[in-house]
Formats: sequence, C-alpha cells, structure tokens
Amino acid sequence: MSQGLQLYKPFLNSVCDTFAMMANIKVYIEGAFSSETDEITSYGVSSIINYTGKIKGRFLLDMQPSVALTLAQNVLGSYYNNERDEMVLATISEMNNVIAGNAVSILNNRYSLGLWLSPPYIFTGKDAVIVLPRIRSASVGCNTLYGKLKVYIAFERGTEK
Amino acid sequence: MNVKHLTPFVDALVKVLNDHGIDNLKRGKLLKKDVMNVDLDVTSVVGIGGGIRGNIAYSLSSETCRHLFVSMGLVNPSDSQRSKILKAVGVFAELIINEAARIFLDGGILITSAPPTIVSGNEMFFIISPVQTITIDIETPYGAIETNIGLEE
Repeated sequence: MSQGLQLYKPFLNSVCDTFAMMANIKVYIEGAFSSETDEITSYGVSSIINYTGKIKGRFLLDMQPSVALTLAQNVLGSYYNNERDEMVLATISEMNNVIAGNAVSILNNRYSLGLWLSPPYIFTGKDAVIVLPRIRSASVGCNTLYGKLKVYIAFERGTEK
Repeated sequence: MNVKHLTPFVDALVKVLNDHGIDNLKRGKLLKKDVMNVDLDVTSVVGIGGGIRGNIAYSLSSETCRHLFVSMGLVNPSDSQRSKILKAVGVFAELIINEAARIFLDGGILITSAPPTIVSGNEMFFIISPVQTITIDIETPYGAIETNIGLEE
C-alpha cells in the first residue's frame, strides 16, 4: 500500500463505520482516491477539521443537503427540513470530529505521528466554492441512499511537537 | 472566552493592513454572535492550535478583496480572475495569523496554525465554534472586514 493510502484509509474507514454506527447510513465508496485541484465546488454542506503533529493536514467532509438532513434526523431522532438549522450543522460537525478523532487515533498508534485535532468548523450556502491552498488533497466520491458525499484528505510535512 | 485572547487577532489584522499602506481603519465593537451568518461572500478560516485552540474567520466582499489586494500589492490590477483573488485571500489570512502568532509569543503563548481554507459563496452560514463566536468589524477605505473568533475555553 502506498504511504499516502496508508494515511488516507483510516479516515475513509472511519467515515463508513461512523455513518453506519451513529446514523444507520451505509456509505458506498465509488472508485479510488484521486488527486484534487485546489478549488472545490461544494455539494452544499461542508465540514473541515485540521490536524497537526509530525505531519499536518486537513479532513473535509462534503455532502449534499439531503444527506446532512437524514444524518441529523437519524442521529437526533427529530425531523429537519432545512440544512441551515443549527442542530443539523452541529450534528455533522460533531460527527466529523468523531470520524477524524478515530482516524487520528489509529494513525497515532500505528505511526506515532502525535497528531491532534483543531476544533471542526462547518458551513453551508449557495454556490459555495472552497479553495484549499498549499496542501493538495486526495478525494474519493461516496454515495448513500440519501445522496452523495465526498471525502477530501490532505497531508503535508509539519513540525514535531 | 478570554478577551485577552481575542485582541491579538484584530491587532494583527490592523498591523498587516497598516504595514501594507492601508490606513484610516475604524474598529467596530466586539459582539457576541449566537449564529454566524455572513453577508460577505468571501471568508477565510484558519484553525488554531497550541496554547489556544479554535478557529478564526475573516470575511469580506469580493469587491473589497479586489481593491484591497491591488492596493496591498498581493494581486496585479489586471488580475480579475476569481481564483487568483481567492488565493490572495489565503495569503492575506496567513500574514494575519503569523502576526497574531508573534503577538501571542511575545505574551508567552505559542500558537500553531493550519493552512487557511477560503470559502466563496452567497448566503453563507458558518459554525466555527461549538460555544460562541465573537465578531468585530474593521472598516477599511475599501469596505469592511469582519473578524469572527471562536476559541475553546
């Protein structure tokens, strides 16, 4: 397995596991990781979490509003019809925290990378374009019964703490 | 949120603008926001770690970006390409956060930062902190820059 894939895999596995366990949503991975441009058109709801340690990087979870609404509904047990609802966004943000936390734990145990997470942030809006300068991301498209999501993972050499 | 931890992010913004010849700045009041609705269409978010953890977001309009960055020398006057302007927003955010890191270090606090993320869109709604977000506007001759600060206790 390439070094990049060794770092990416725990994130993707964590997405599938966390969606299944917390929201009862099966995630179907479509294809392999591919290199991304530094400009991304958002599906609608995007959550980002940064990590730093011996290396640093960024994990971005981007999803269609229909996925975000179903996810919040399944996790919280309440019906939501607006992805701008604070509870919906807070749920996705926390889920991103769990996903990245699991992945970073695995990487730290496996490679002693000393990674720690920044607090996640999340946004939604019309025609949102995300620019991720300096760190080139790898991405993989995913599908669910409720819509599409995409996972972006990026690493660059950091400073040891 | 410790107020002492807020001012370096605003002071750094003012210093970077002043250092690039942008004067006549007016500081607004610190406001507590329960939700972060942004009317301005460009936002740069930077994750902070080390002695302080959280996210800092600087929002401004595309027009303000264009005029400000031409004046600061970050883009050429002929560069109207949106992607170049957005990348300049990233450079601008890094200049501010590096300056903020220097101010914090002078006060004995080491902070680290992740590369910025730039988001462009309409009717944007952000959550950068699970607790609360503090906002302060800086009025420049080219338009307002809204600073949103979400730090963990």
